[in-house]
Parts: sequence; C-alpha cells; structure tokens
Amino acid sequence: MEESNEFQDGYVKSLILQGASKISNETFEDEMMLKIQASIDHKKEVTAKLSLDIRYFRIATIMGITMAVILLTKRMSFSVNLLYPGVISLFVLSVAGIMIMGNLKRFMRLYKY
Amino acid sequence: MDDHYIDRVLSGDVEAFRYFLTTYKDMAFNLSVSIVKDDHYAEEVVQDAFMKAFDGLASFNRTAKFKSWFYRIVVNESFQRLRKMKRQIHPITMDSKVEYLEPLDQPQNSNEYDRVRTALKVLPAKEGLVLNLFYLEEHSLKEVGDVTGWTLANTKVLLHRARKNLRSILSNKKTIKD
Repeated sequence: MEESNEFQDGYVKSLILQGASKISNETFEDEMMLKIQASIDHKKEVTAKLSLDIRYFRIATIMGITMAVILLTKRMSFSVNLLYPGVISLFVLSVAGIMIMGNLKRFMRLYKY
Repeated sequence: MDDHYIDRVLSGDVEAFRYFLTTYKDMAFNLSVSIVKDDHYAEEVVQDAFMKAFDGLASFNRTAKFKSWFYRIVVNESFQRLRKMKRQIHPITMDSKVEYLEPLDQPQNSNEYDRVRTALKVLPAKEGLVLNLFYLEEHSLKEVGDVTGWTLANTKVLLHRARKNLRSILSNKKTIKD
C-alpha cells in the first residue's frame, strides 16, 4: 500500500479522470447479447451435428467389426491364428475406431455450450 | 456481486451476462483505447474480449477477481490488435519515435477533455495503460501487475515515466520514445 501511495498524484489523477471516455455506441449491450446468442446457437448446431456423427460412426464401427469377425471366422474355419494379417488389421482398426470415437466425444464436450 | 452473476450465467441464464457488459464496458474501452489509440478498434477489442470472457467463464478461477481476469483479457486482446495494426498499417515505423501532436500547440482552441484525450493517445501503449489502471481504476501496483503481467519494479518504472511524459506532453515540451 505504501508503495502505491508513493505514486499518488492528484494532478495526474484529475487529468486521467478528465480524459476518461465511454463507448459511444448506445446499443453496445444489445449488440453483444445478440452476438453471444448467435454464438450459442452456432455451438448448439455444431454439437448436434457432432453427436449425430458420433452415432453413425459408432454404428459403422460395430457393423464393420462384426462383419470382419464373421468373414474371418469363416475363412479360418476353426484354426484361430492370432498372427493372421486379417486378425491383426481387425484389431488395429478396432482400436483406431474406438480412439476416433473418444476424440469426437472429447471435441464435442469442448465445443458444447 | 460478480460471483452471483457468474453463477447465473453458468447455470444457463445468458441474459445475466448483460450485468458484466454494463459494468465493465467503459473501463475496458478506456484500457483498450490507451493501447490501440483508436476508438473504433478499441470497441472491436472490447467486443472480442467480452466474447472470450463469456466462452471462458466456466474455466474462470474464482480465487481471482473477475475484474482482474477480464481486464487481463482486454489487455492481451488490445496488444494483439496493436501488433496486427502495426504489421498492417505501419510496417516501416514500428520502432520510430512518436512525434508530438499539434492540438496541444494551441490549447486555447480545444477544451480540456480533448487535450487530455489527445495527450493520452500520444503516450506509448504501456504508459497509457498503467495510468488508466492506477489512477482511473484505482488498482494497486500489485493489481496492475496481475492484470498486465509486469513485475512490480517494471510497473513502478512505467508509472513514473508515464506521469513524467504526460506532464511533458501537456506542457508542450517534447517528443516521446516508444
């Protein structure tokens, strides 16, 4: 506080107070509220689209994995070999699909109003 | 008071944000004008700062004052705009001396408000900012540091220099180094 007192200067203070100005735009608050509302609407719209994207992506991933499993099982009959290229690709693609879904969800949370 | 309105905004009452607009718009405008030196740009900066504050309200740390947090946004936005303006408008004269202004040569022709406004616009951005924060907003040196990110020693030096320069400009004596 003492340090601040060292700079107390009535003359400069009165000058600064005289020079203080106000926003001349009388509709500033209304314009800002409209902008904010527009930004909320935009975010809601993006969130809705993202949520739809996630839903379709999830369905496609599950269907893809199911089909791949069915095809692989038929092809390999009953001799399951974990090092078979199809099994490895299926595993990698499944992990990638789950990760992408997780990222989309995270992105949606970030964007959500 | 601020906390009450923050809670309302966060609970979905968007209209409650009008309180912050009404309370802080003029001070934010003054801070921004002291940096960008242009009313039109300053108003744009204030708009951007309010948008950022609204978007970031959920992440606002309640241990600090809303005012300081918001002014910091305004200051950062203003310096960002200033850098952009310098790149766009004055690519050659970035570190040139700001020449002394003409309205103060004939103080009898302009009123006191215009004289002071012009003088404040001639002051370097940081000096105008520190004067506004300290004398108009009545922030302590520490609070000025919180808003601007300057050290206490730096704030003192700037405040001292700003007072000296303002007096010099108004007594129509010299040019200022940016």
